[in-house]
Amino acid sequence: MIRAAACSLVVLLLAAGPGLAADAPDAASFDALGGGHDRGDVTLALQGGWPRLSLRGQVGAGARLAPVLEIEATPSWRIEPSLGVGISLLRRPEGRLSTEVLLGWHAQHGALAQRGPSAVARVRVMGTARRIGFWLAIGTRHTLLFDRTTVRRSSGEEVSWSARHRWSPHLAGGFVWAVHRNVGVEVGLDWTFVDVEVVAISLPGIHVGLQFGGGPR
Amino acid sequence: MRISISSRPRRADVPVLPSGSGLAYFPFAALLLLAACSDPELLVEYRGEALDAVDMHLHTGEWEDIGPTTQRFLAERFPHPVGLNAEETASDSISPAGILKQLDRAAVRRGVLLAVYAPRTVGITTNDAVIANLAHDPDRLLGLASVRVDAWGTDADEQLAALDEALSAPGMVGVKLAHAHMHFRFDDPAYWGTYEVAAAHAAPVYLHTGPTPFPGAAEGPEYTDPAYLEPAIVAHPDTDFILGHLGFDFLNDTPGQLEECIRLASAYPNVWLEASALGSKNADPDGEHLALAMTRIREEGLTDRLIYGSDGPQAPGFVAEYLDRTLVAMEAGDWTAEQAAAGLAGNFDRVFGLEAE
Repeated sequence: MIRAAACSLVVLLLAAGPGLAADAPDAASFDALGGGHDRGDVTLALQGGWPRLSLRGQVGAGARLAPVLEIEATPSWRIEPSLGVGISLLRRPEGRLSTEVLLGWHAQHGALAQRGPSAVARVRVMGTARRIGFWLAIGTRHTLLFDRTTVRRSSGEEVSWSARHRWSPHLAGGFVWAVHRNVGVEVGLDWTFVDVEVVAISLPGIHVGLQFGGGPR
Repeated sequence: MRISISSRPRRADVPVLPSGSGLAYFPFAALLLLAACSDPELLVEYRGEALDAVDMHLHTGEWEDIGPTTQRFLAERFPHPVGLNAEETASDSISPAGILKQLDRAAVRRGVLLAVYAPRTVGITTNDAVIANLAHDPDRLLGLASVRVDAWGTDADEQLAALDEALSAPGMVGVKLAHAHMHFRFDDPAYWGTYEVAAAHAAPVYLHTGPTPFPGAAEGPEYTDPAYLEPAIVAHPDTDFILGHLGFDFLNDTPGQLEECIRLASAYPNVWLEASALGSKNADPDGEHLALAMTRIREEGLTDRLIYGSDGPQAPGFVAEYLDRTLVAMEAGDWTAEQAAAGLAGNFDRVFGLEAE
């Protein structure tokens, strides 16, 4: 299966030339990582690495808006599905600027079990030169964790609820190569500062990415 | 100012091959092989002197025997995402093999594993588990036994008999108590039978002092302030009391009851001092608390009362890191090499009756 995937990638690379103009401001990779979808453009971005995996799907809705579905996961331990909207603030041949707001759910297993609603705000900036782009995203995730406390007394049982707030800012970036108008590859770093002031320290991560997309051009 | 120190193991000298050829090399090659296979000489360097070190405060046990709130507390101290799989990480770390690996890395000759009976807070490591773990390397591992007190009103005699039996096992050289974690007062005479059993075995008693960060602990001064221990110290002159953590306040990261510990050690010959955990990166990022402790101990002429401990293994590399931080603090406190030698191992050997080894 890995061999087949590698062969497919080689075929894509060989086919890249005719599928993409020398200047590639409309590449799906740039939409997926920098924002700025046209109406009807659809992108799918996959990132795999350590310690996180992620999947992002986005569709252009016009008026600079692009709804987004995102799932981030640390396999076996932590998953964060979110739904929101991206807003393109600037789109030029030399770069892009966008922001996005998402609402979702957070679930974590093990000794640090958590679950609760979360909200994400993020800004993406991208510089592009022909088929190459550099992107940077900075964001913040706020999660509410609800605790149920049950006190059993001889007079009866008393249940109360309380909430804890967790803040996890994050920073990510990488280099992307638009192999084709519809396909690109990326390598980058990401650093999520998980549960600031609760977890002692968070380690940075590394990922490779693959982007697909297209639209009614 | 951080001094240049090294805690790397110093290995025994390796024979040099003479000139020549052929079979003449064989005996020397055999010697070389023997030297390479022999145990390294474990010493730490301080002010140009190679010193012996013993770490008297190491935790062993099983992750599942730790209470859930303390599991969470510990897991949050591992780096993310390592803490997500805290069970595997901790299990590797607190196994005898993991502890010996950390001792090797720190160039510490010997480590002491602690039994714990604190089901409401930090969990349980039984005396039997410690005794079993000592068997992994009886030459380098010693143990402190503990006693279960959560049903003391009904089973005190049974628990004291169990402590007596545990102290009869090879390598079990002392007693570990943590009043704040175990929820009994320093000044409650109902528990003083423990000190009598310890004295009968010439086994020093290590006590946690100072407010503790673990969820569910009893934080009142009668559980944490060593001043409340004074009646027991006076009543048991044949029992050696080791004041763990020097009364450090781990809730606020302040020196806490340091001066009270120094006062007790100055006043009573059966009181010893131990400075584990308070100088860790988390509690003392700049090293000022540990340096203050070392300075005050030296100023009061108590360098012959300090017994070194780290409170490891915690995270990988902690045992070596804590030793390095302690050496830096000793330097800051102007300890001589001779005083450091006593603090790192000599005092331990003396109080635990191991000087003849």
